[in-house]
Amino acid sequence: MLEVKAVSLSFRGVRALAAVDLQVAKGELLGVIGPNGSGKSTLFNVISGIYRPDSGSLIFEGKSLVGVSPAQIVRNGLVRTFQNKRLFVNLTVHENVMVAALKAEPGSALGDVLGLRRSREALESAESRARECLRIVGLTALADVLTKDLPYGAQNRLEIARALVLEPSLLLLDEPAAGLNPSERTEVVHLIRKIHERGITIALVEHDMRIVTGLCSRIAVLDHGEKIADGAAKEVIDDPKVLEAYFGAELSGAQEVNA
Amino acid sequence: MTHQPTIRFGRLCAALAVLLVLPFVAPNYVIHVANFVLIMTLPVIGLGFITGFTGRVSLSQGAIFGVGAYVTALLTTKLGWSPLATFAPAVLGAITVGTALGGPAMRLAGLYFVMATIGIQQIVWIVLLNAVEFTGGPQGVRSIPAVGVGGFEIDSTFSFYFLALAMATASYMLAKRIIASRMGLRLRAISDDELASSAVAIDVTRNKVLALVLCSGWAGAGGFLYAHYVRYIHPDMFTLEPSILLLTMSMFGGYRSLEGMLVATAILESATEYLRPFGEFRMIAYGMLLLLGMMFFPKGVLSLFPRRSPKPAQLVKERTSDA
Repeated sequence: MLEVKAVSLSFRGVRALAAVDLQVAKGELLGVIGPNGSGKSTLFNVISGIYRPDSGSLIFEGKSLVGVSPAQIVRNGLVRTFQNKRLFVNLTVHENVMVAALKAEPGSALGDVLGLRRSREALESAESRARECLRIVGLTALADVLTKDLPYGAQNRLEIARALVLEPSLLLLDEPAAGLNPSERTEVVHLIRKIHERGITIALVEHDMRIVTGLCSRIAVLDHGEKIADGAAKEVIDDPKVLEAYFGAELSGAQEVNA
Repeated sequence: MTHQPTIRFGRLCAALAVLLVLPFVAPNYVIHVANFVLIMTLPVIGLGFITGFTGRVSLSQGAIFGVGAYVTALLTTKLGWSPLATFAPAVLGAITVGTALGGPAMRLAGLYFVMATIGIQQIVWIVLLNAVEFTGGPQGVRSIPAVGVGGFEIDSTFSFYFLALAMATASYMLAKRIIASRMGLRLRAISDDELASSAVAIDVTRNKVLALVLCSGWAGAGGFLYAHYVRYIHPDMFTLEPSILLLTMSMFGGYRSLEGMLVATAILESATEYLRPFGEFRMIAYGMLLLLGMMFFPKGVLSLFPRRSPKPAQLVKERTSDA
């Protein structure tokens, strides 16, 4: 479904991604892990069209994504969420989802102004799809709240609702559980599983190993912009290279704190 | 859409009723000031599409307003067009100039955009001033005819009031509908976060240019009215100063509130007239007024009447009490 081949990207000489290969198969729930600064989010930014790779190719459902605008990539069915919660804070919760829901609807702004029937029906249909997505993530009761007044834990779910209403065939989730407390984490894990069961392919960047091992059957590991492992979850987390790059770094970090 | 801004017809009718009675009871000078207020609501509303909805501060609205005024002035005086027939060309002319010059600047953010619009303002002013054969240069354009509707000449302060009121009302209602449309929603999303907007498949560039088209179009319509009211225009009417005044009116009204902009236009535009006795100290008095306004109503003049919006805590409480 998605094929990333030898993608490299540097920022002013600093190597962010070095010839990264990544395949996502239809129906999969793939986990992408790695220490901080290993290039996970950069990889997502390249796939979603925010950065253009220096070299390499990105093929999504047979079409190249290099040089395609972020908006067009979303229209093709590849949707992402953001690690640092990029919500429309001055819109209500419902409007956040509504503005995304309008993507798939016919009619135009001019039609809305003139009150054409086609446009009215499109708005109603977008409205009901937005409502449905808010229901799935459990935000119905907060629909009319201004997004900047939304509790932090609910913001992740709103990001997911907004992505869901775009009817993705592949959904990239960038640290959907970041900053959540344990019970909220459980909720998000449950939600991701529910979305996956609806037939949406998911690639997930996450720090919390329990979430990744609990959800994903396959895991890819990045370190210093390189992919150092890729395979069945069980094998990958026992791979000594991964242990050194990921847990090793974390353990030595913990020791420093203790010292 | 639950939270979309919609026209409150009750209030609109009440406001219109008062405005329709006003010219019959007010002295001529008050009607004259009211005419300027009504004219200025058009470029101010137009500016609202840019400042309120894409988060950009433009200082070229006075120039684009001038383009609208010059198009209608030149077509009526030089080519003998009937004033009403020049409405569309005035709007289109303003859109063309505004979008051609402003479009590339829309890529810029923050102060850089402000600088670019000051440049646009100066370019237009210099062209109006120096293209003497075409615009009349510093002499300006004289004897612009009054608008005639069905054989009736709208040439008095009193009769012009109704034309201006009709156009201001129409432009308010149209702007209101545009803001309530999917485009308004998209523009509000873009002003919050451009990157997230593109991540929900909004064509950011296209919508920003459309906002600029609306902004310029409204300015052009205002310029049309202005030319046929003052009947004599010259380049110095369209300098940076009116651009600053228009921007102030649109910001003073409060964030994304058309009604606030209208009230602010009424207060500030009449203030510029009524402060005339202060002579050269006029702008100082005006500045004081602005300062006090910003201190006491930082969220705009309509913040005196807060809108009720449900707070999350309240809703959560309601939900648990249901269970």
